[in-house]
Amino acid sequence: MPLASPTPPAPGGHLTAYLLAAGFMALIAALSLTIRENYPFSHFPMYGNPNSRPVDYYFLTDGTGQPLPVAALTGETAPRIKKRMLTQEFKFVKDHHLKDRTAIPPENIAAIRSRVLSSFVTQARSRGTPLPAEIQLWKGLIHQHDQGYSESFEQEAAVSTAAPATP
Amino acid sequence: MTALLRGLLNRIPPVRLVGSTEALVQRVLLAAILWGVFYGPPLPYPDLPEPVGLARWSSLWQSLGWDLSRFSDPQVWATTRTVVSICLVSYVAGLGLPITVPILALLHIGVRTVVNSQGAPHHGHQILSLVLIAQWLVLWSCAAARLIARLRSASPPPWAQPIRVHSWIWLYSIAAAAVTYPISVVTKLEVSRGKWLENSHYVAAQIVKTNRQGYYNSLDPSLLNGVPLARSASDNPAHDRYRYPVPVQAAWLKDHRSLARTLFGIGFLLEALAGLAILNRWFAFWIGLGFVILHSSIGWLMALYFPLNEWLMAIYFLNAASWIAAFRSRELPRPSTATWIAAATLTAAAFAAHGLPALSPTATGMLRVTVAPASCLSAILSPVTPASLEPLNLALGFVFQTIITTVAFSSLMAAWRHLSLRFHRPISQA
Repeated sequence: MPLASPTPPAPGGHLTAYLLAAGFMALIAALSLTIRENYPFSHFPMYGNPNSRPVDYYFLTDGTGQPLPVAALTGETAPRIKKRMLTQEFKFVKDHHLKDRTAIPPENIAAIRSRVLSSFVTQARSRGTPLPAEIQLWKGLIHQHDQGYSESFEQEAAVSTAAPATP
Repeated sequence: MTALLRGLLNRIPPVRLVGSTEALVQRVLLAAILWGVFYGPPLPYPDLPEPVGLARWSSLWQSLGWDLSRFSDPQVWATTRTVVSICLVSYVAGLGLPITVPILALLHIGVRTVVNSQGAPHHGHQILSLVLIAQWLVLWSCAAARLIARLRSASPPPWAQPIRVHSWIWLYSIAAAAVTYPISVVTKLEVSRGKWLENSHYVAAQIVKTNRQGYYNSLDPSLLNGVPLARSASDNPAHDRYRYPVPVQAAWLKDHRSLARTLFGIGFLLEALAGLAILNRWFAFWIGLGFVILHSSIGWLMALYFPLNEWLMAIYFLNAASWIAAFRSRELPRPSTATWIAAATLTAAAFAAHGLPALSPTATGMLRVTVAPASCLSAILSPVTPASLEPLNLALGFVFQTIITTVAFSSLMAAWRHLSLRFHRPISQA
């Protein structure tokens, strides 16, 4: 079995091969930037807009506020809590022809939070994971100051796990 | 200007021929990755609440008697794994590639479409699907050209000869993997309105966020090391139990804005130039090595991992088999024994330092970057290697990194010699 074949002499117009490969890349790029989050394409928006605003993240706790391991509980990673909420919020914005997410009424935001939390509870239940009587959704906000970082927290939603969670 | 451009274009070599052994190594490693991807239990998603991609065409699937969410059915999953196993054996053997590659591509796209249709898009697998699509396109293009030639009783065009197929698979796999990065650059510029580089030091706050998310995944206390949080007048003391230390690297980058911008700017530049990897194996090598180090550094800094990106870089960009083949056939000058010894010594030193038990988490994370190429190969092979053969994986990782280090040394020394000859003319000539 030959380990390598010698590079053949350059045929006329061998640059065509590179132009075709570049064209293939341009096609993938154009499709990805046009149709965005439609697998296997994506415009890869993560960490696209670093700025001085507080950075938010979400976590789950039991009814007493004790943190719960999201991955062991639901089979999902903690970042997916925020991603699911963002997807629902963008959908709401699109369906109601709003300017952006800040225009969503607070009661609808609360409903989205509860719905997302319920979906995780449903998922945890389907995995057969033992659940506490109540699961709370918390938001952490990381603030950036000259002297360092500080954090503030808000409870966003809570659901009882006694009854089947609403879909 | 036209002459300069023509001169540059003329220096681009023709696409090299990829030997059959090199192609076999690439197929074995890609098959190991795919086996690892399909190795797990059935998907835990009985429905598709936010359909994306192929899942949007639900009426089409229903008319075909199929539903993508059936990948969560244990029986369907078992059948899928059987089909994947057969396809992977065929793929490694190089048999029926125009049939097996599309099947593997469609199954991978189908499964990951289900995962991404849960309302939380994940960005770790697109690169693998795109590489499979690229290989599919290459195989079908060459097969179609050969079929048409046969129907016309003519010879197939030179580019569609079987000996060229490995070269196109290599080239288009690199193209598919590389293009994901400039896409990200365009999005960064669009979303930040052109201010990404200027504001890149704020990424440091994202390090705190990903660290927190990592902690809440598993409540692993080892993720709570670092420097204390600052206090704010509005802080609610009742929430102090959630106020954990901040990772040292996040605090450090926050205090060194210019350096943070420089570091993130290097990554941004690498992403922007990733497409140049198609030009020749040297471009592919240095860009691939850059990305392996970049992803490994991001893993250390942000606990954010893109293993498939790193592994595909190791297979197609770093491509150790191609260097060994080129050295053996004397297509490239063989590195001296001293170069090999220096590379092996440096790799051994990195392994030894990485294995030191009493280091701080920061130092351990930093040293993990130094063995990133070896870790890639060991991780690729891990799903297909029995636990008893784990030392063999480590040994192969060591050999892989030694080859990569040798190639890097050789490249740097060749560049140094070239520059010396160019700028250090003999006195008599001066």
